[in-house]
Amino acid sequence: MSDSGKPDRGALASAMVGAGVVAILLGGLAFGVVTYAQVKAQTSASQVTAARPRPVFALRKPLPPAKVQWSSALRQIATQNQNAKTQTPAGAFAAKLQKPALDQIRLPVILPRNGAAISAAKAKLLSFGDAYALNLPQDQGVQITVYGNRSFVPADAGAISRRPMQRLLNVAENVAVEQTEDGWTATFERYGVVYTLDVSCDDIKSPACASDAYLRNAVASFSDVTLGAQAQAEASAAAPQPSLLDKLNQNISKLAKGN
Amino acid sequence: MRALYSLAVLLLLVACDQTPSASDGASESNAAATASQAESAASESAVAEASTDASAEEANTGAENSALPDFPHDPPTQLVANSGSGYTDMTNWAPGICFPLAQTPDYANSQVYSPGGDHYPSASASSHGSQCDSANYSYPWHDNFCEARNWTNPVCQSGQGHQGQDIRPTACHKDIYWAVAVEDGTVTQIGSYTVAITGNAAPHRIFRYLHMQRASVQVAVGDHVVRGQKLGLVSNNLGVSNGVQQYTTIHLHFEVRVAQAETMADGTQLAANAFVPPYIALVDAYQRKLAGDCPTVN
Repeated sequence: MSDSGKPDRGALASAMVGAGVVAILLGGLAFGVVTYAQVKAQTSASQVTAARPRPVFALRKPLPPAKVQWSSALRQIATQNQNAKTQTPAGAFAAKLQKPALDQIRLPVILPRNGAAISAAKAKLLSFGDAYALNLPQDQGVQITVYGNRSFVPADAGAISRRPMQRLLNVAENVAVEQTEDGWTATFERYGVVYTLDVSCDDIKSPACASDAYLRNAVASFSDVTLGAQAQAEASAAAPQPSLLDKLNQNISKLAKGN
Repeated sequence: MRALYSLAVLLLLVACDQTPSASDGASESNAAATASQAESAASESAVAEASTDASAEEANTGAENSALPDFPHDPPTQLVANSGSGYTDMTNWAPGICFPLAQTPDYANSQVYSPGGDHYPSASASSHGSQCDSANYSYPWHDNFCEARNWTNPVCQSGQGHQGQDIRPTACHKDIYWAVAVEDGTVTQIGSYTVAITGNAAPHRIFRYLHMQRASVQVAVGDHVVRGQKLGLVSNNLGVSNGVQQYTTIHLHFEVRVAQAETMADGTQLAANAFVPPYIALVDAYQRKLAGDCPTVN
């Protein structure tokens, strides 16, 4: 306003510009608010909000790879070789596996014993070093997948010791058998390694998945074992070396026999 | 005056810069993440403080202490009312994994005790609502590991229950949204609606994805996959029964198994493989996803 009481043109112009700027500012702010609302809506009403203090959860680091009971695996292989003199060679199934993968596995690889009705025609053996997977597609949409693993995470007290376990016919170890969404799974410990055997079915009502009978038979059939190159090397390194006394006895024995 | 105009233009540009691309879910999330991160700087110190209070055997550390965008979710172990006995384990069994779906938002919740599910409470015995009900495609997330099922699950207080976590994709449409690898790993099994991968790194967790569209699966047994790599599309497949295709709701059933060892009083170890609750790992993965972690790999 001018001193005359009439509106000053300059002041009016300034006021109008100022109002425009304020309008633009408010518009910008409003646009900004709308945009943020859109962001929130499009991230799906996401209601994605400011971070809040995050609860702290336990983490469990994997333990060092467990020691494999190589001597037990070697004894089983010796038994298999003994049986091979009268039966189909035990290595027949192993021969169908991918040798490069087998040679990288630092575990005993369990296999179906001779005569077991498990096809290796489409077998895929996959190495993870201290773990492996053996996928065995069977007929009619049934798959058997065996996992071996010696990389464990610490479990709470009772998590395994109080877990329901079963004794299966012709299986030495206790086995946990559980139904899954698409079949059955079994897990057990042998040679210091955790083995898991999954049976999955395209048709959950098919004979292989309607009950746990097929799984039980499959677990029982996986009684043979083979070692790839790395496992052989580790088994040899772990084998007890003869003591000086043993060596002396061997030499005396040879001398006594006149050798 | 020029300064005021410049300020106005600057404000407009900043506002425009927050506008997400409608076609890109990831950028939508990132935009929201940026906005929410801006709001949340003040809470970072609180986060760090909370982390130092860890009484767990080992607390989340490093990047997990930093502020990440939050989203509404029920706490782990808290199931929908009357949906099961639940569990108590508060371990993150798969820290650092990618979220198993490529696009956000996604909704972890129950398929059985939500609209469209067989046990969703309703007046009608035969109709339980629609699986596409907006309630199913809204936050908050709900844990559904150990939800009532007949399957043996020793982690559950009842000894039985759901062995994974169900996650609905962005919208109620099948065969559109990609499931992705959560870790660098190798594909170890593929069924008519399932994909399993085993992590390359110890402890070699087994991750399984169920209800996929078989025709869309882009990997084969033996393939090496990397974090965020597309595996296949989320669908509603449930295999066949007597030659007839079976369906469930549109969702991803995601499960994790870990080989574990229990040390006994005499020093010996008992070891076994077990399903573990994935919810805590998924919440963490989702928050990182919203902040831009795990870009999708074709």
